Amino acid sequence: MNSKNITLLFAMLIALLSASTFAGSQKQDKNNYSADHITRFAKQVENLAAEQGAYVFIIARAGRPASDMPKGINYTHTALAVYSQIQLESGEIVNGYAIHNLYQKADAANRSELVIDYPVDFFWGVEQLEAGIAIPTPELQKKILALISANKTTRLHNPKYSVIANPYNNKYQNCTEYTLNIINSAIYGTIDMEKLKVNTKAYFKAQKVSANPIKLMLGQFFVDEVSTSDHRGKVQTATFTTITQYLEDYGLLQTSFAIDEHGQRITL
Amino acid sequence: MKKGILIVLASLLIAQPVHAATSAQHTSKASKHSALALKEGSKTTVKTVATAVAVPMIISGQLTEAAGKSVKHVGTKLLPLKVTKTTVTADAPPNQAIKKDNKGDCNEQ
Repeated sequence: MNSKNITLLFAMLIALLSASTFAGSQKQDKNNYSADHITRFAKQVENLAAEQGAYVFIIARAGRPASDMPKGINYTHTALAVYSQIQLESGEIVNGYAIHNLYQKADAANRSELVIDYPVDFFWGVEQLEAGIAIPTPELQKKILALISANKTTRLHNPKYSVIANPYNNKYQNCTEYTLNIINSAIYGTIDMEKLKVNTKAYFKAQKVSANPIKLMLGQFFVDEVSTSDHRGKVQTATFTTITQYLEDYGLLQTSFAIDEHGQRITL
Repeated sequence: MKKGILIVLASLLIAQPVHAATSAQHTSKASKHSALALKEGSKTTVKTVATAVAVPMIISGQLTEAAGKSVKHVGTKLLPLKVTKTTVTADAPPNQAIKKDNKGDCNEQ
């Protein structure tokens, strides 16, 4: 194969990797759901969590149809929803949930930032409207809230982003690992990252990512948001499902459920 | 011929999503605000929050507090909470945001 053909092949690889393999960082240009539908759904999610008395809960969005997701991964984004007094621009103060997110930066796919938004923002533009809800026990909620109120959560953020970040070390981070860091920081009463990662390794079972190794290797070379250098052996990452299971395993989960696009509660 | 086969093989290798736990904001804020703006006058009210003023409610002992002020007894079990019927969104639409006096911006001298 001559150099021209090699160049052509690599150009194709880059195009394909960027366009579909690691798709997710692209903005969605069109909504599958109407503004009314998303607004209604977001309010249903808030109301269902509020009925449970959840001051803080783990919230996830499906984002994509299940058929487009790798095996074992059901949600594309995870964050913490915090019952808050929210001051509107008008000065009015209302009660509702503010969502504390780690978002990939729009202008730098390998970097992230911490953003507070609201349910309608969280669900806007998704291809598949489904929410995952995991409500920790009141005791754990209380500790998470204390951490957030003391502004200590920013100390748990690593802006180096990888979509398949290894939760057992702090080399890269994604939204789910950040959420797990907050939970573990609340549980262990420390923001010492080394201690948190030792405990994560000891007790948390990450999701193995079922992807072709060659594809992963190519991805780390050609796609900014993918890195495998923080992994040894099988690639593993934190997910909404594995965090929920972790809380359940250690008696720290009050309840968990999903909400479908019609606003109906589904047992997980 | 060989080139064609290689390209097909490469495409097959990377055709499925590796992982979808992305946290990219799937939003085009301008289009979101345009769509939400259309809802003005309908049953649902959409309002924008002021900057950085979502204060978490704190569960403190037997009391729930907001900004240090006790507001509700919760006892040992969490009771249902009330949420506003208003739909809250993070940012003002661009046509409103641009009119704001952005005092305190990081580049302001």
